[in-house]
Amino acid sequence: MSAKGGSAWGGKKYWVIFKNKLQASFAYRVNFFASFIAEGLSLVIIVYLWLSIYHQGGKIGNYTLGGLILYFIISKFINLTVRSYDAARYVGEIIRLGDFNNYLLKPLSFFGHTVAYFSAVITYNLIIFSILFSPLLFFGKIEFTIVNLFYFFISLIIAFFLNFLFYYAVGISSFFFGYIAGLNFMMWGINSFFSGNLIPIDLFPKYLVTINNFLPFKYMVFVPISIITNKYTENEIFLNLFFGLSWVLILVIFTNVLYKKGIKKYEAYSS
Amino acid sequence: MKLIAAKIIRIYRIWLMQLYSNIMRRMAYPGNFYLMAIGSLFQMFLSIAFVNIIFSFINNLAGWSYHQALLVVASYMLIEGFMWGTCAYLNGLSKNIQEGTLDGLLVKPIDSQFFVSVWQSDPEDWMRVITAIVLFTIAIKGLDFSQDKFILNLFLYLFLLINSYFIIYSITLVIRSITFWTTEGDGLWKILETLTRLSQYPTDIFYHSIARFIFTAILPLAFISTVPAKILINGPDIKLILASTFLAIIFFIASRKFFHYGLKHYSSASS
Repeated sequence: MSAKGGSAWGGKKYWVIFKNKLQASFAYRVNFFASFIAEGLSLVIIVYLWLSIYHQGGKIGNYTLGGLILYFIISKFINLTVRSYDAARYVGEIIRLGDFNNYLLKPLSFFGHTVAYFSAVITYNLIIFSILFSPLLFFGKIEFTIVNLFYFFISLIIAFFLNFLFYYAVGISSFFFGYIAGLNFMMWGINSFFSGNLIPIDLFPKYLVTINNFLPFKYMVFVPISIITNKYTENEIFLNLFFGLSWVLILVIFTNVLYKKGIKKYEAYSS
Repeated sequence: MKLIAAKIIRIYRIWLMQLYSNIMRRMAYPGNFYLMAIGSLFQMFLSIAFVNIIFSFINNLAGWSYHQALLVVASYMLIEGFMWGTCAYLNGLSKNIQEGTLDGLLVKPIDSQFFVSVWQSDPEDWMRVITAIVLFTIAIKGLDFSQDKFILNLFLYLFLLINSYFIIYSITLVIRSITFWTTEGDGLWKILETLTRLSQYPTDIFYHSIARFIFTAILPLAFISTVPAKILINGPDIKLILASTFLAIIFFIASRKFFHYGLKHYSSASS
């Protein structure tokens, strides 16, 4: 996905981008901790919502109270680590404001640059939040094995790439629409709902569950949670990882086509 | 009296002109405008879907029936819609401080706080208000009201919603004003956004007294949408009405003082 069409995927320059962004992330921590407090606050209220339901004798699907709370804790963890909602805005603004010209002139793949940049963000988030969340996972009494943890980690990587490619596609739509804040906002809503971020997707009405099976969203949140909470057999884990990976490939092809079509439309105005 | 009326008319005219200019700015990217409007609509549908899914498993949520809970969601949507539609959660204040362009607004012969507040609004978010009114109507139809009681309750409800608006507005103003010192207020804003979003759940879910105290007295979450909905359903409660009015006035005065205190620390980046 070189901006020039040729192969610009030389490792070292992307390593430098990755390293610089990682260092910058460690330097500017205010927003990071604010996100943590905001998500924490949201978790407290969601937990209270479920507590209140179970307190009055209600039950949601096959979930125990502990199971639901655990679901939302892991969902917050995934939200804070591998979700790359910002990728759309980042990419979209580079294109809209004309900074994309740099990528046309320099021997640097735009895709490679963006992957390196967001990999650094995710690496930083994973390091910090793994430390912050690990006691919760142990107190949550999840009976996971090292193998499960390994599959969970793989599913997180898949979730990252799916999220990233999804929002990257939204971002490069800027070639066609100019300003993509509206599209991004809408896609964020769809993604949050269908990925199982708001509510476990097995609680959806049947027709929504069926529709969701044909979409990539459940591999972004629901599948990783189901893996770490032992909801899947080994065969089901393999099958879900396989489908998740297939979606990654589909999105790579899709973004590639979109990028090539977009670059033909790009007028290089502004800076 | 005449002078006050003239002032109000002038302020109203300026607000209208600013709204018109914001519509023009947004319509520079018409596709984005419509997508934003659809996005807002979709986000509201997600809130409703969430309530629907929960109520497909239970009959009442902390004493709130389905239609009563919808009323709380509708109240939250109304406040959310008005906040975005009239002042975009004071996004313009942070933006102007960060870009060093606040001077241009401060020299205008009009109240600085007012002009800074309405400088940016998101007209597409009026869609939220329309959706909220539809949802409000659905909720009301599902509840039993005698005609005479309803009119009085509705009047009080609207009065309390105005209070809610001022409470949220004031908290936002304080948080945005912190940008005068830090020039980076996005982090705190995330916390406020989360808090507002969480006011769509009845605060009766906090059945522990400490949690209820925190989310009603310290963080006035209850007064945003739960209290107005309660008054509409149950009729006048002098204590709650007074508390809400008192909070709105105190918050507004304190935030105005804080804004002006912050202004003194504003070191224009542009000049």
